[in-house]
Amino acid sequence: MVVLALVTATTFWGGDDYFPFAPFKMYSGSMSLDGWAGSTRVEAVNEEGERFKLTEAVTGFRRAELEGQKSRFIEDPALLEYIAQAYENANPDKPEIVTVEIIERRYELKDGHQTGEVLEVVEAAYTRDGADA
Amino acid sequence: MTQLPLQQKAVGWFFQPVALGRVAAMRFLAGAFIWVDWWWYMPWILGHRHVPGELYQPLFIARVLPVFPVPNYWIVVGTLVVLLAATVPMMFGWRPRLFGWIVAAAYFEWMIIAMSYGKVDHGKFAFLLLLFLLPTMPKAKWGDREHLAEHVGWGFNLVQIGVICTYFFAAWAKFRYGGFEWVNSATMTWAIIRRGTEFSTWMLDYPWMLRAVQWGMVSFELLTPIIMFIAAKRLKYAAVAFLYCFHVSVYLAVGISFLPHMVAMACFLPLERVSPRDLVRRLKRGKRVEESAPISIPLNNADSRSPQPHEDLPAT
Repeated sequence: MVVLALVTATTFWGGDDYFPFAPFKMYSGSMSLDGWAGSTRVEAVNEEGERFKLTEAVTGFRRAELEGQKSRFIEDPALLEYIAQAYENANPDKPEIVTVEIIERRYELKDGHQTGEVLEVVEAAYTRDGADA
Repeated sequence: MTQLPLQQKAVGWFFQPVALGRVAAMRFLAGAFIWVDWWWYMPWILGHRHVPGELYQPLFIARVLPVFPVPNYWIVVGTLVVLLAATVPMMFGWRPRLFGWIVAAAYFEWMIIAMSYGKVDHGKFAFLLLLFLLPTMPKAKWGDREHLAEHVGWGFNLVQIGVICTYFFAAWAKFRYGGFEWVNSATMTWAIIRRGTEFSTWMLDYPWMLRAVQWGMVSFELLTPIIMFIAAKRLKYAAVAFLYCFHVSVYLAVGISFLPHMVAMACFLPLERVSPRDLVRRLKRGKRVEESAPISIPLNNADSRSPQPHEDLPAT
């Protein structure tokens, strides 16, 4: 009973923070029919100059988590170093990372259709001290 | 253990007795999911063992209760080991209550590890309820349709309400966060651009269709509470089958499966009728019996003028 009361309450007032009692807001945002639909990714450049995507498979840090903390990363790009660290913890044999970037690809929508217009924006970037990437 | 006087006296809908066989089946299903979860369904949770503590964002519950440590390599791996080890005896009914509590606690910590890095997922509420209610239920055997318990009926009712809440409140959340215009918005377009599959990307050319899907989804989500009150068993199972179909289509369209939610939803079904021992026996008796039995019974019922007696009642 208490559980049900809590889940009801958080549906009305709470936020995700109150997990496990939280509003069930899977895809609940209203996306505008006109505007830009964004898709975020993280890219890295390693010591050997190779550019590659930092996916959840290689870091253990998910895209949705990145998006959840995105404002933090934009405010303080130095935090991106921790994503590089996660990658290095998970892949100790691979060359180390020098640069990490958050890139958003934006697709333009008009009346719910894709116009074909695509924009790429680097929203935050971090380069390790002493590296000249 | 938790037999309150209220429960003993209460009759009617909320405490309608349910056969113990269903408890055994649900324990098995819950455990089976946990064994699939960590390497297939949500392998990224284990991936958090590499993520530095600086990216950990404690949830409200972890800030209030200081029992959840900042995850590191050994906390993540250790939680998983305890969870998996305790799941096996629970699945097979050995000390299911003791191990059920360990599983519930370990899975809860597993969820804290999962949800504390900037994204909270919402498909596991009913499953968590199930994990915490199963240990309150008695030891049970597969296929046991003779012993019924009000407590089991109550517990599964709570899980079912949790399942229904997930849909109903999901509709509510859409209005809360997206506004009533959600149904006409481009949310499905956005979802398919992000995670579309070959079954769904063609729909991007037909935005009206995606909008119709949004209308349909909100309508059925708002209607789900009715399921709790459908008296006719067959209609109820049909409604639950519809929900399963919905999840299959969502999975094909955007690759999101809500598998734990589907496991929890199984407690709507008369799983006490499944008895692995009988199945094995039938297999041994010969293929013909095994093949014809499961198919012919429902067809006979559908055609028959005198339907079978109530399926959920104990055999007398």
